Amino acid sequence: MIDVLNAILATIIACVVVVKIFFWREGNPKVVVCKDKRTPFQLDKLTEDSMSVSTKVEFRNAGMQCATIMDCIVRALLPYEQYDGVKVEAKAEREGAPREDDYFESVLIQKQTSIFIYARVTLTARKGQDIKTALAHMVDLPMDIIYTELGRRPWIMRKVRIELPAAEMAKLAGVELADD
Amino acid sequence: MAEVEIVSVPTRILTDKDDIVDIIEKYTKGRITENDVVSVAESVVAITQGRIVRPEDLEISTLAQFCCRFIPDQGSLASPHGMQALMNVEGQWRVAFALFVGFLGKIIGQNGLFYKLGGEQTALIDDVTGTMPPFDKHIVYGPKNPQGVVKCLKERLGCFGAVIADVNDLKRSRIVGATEGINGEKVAQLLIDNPFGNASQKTPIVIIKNFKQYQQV
Repeated sequence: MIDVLNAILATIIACVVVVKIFFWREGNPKVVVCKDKRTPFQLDKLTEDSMSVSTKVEFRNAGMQCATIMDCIVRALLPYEQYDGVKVEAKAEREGAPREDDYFESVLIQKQTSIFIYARVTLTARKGQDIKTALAHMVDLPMDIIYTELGRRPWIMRKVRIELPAAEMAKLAGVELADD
Repeated sequence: MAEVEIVSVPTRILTDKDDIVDIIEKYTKGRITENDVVSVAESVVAITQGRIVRPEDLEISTLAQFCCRFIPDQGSLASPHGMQALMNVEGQWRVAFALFVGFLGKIIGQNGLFYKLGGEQTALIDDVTGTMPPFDKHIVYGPKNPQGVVKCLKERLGCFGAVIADVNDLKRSRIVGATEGINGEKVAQLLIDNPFGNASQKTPIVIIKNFKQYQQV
């Protein structure tokens, strides 16, 4: 009787070990947002009262399984308590799949490959100013790239912080930053 | 003899507010004869039936997380959400049992047991990204009562037959439901190049002109 129980126990343990080894060998998706390798912000459009800039960010799946980015948005964080001279709008746009509706179509990232997502930012002057005057007094602009990731585990929402420095904006607009 | 011809019919985006039979009647008006077969994409039929679920609305079980690991990572059931969606309609223990038997079957060289035993939705569920916006963020089930839908379509349109097809760009073409007298294999072969188009082309209806004569040859 004890031999039978031992055999059953050994079989269960062997199954658990085999499954664990199988999962370990198969691996997981692992999406890494290479925020430190993002391209410098580039000027897309400059008008009397607005400026649009963008940066390209790599989303790399460094894991061993396919990953899905279900949604992605860019959230600019400029409270008017800090600076109310511009209104900021931002969006995420997948490289090679531009859209005018700001919709982010869910996308697969195969294992060991990358996709690139543009963070596009439009700054519009407020209070009757022109954009150059407004940007001369601008502050550093933090932005969260917020994305929903799916894979072998339940969905998860992640945030990555990037920053658009005031000096970079002023330079792109061709103005000198005021010493406020 | 009139030659068989594939005619893709563009529509607006269809939602669960639409009735699939009314919509097909509206978009194909005056274009269908008693020799033609009307085919419609299975995911669109399912969407009009409200057979969609958001991953965020699913309560993911440990069993779903475990079972999904045994599906190759390209499959619709490879995510815990796809697997949970399946378990919610087919029963979690049935799915787990089918997966286990499917695994044993593979060892002895018998493939496809999981899909045979796991319930009809096993092969029909589309995971996130599987359907066009705005349903790309949903899991889409297979259609409910496909035979009833095609019967209703045939009666309403007066066509030779109607089918619901599951076709993709990877040369997979499968008939999910067909009216009596239709040779599903012949229809599937005609649809192999996916005339429903890719996601952005919005052509969920395809008319196969003169299929009656084609089938009789």
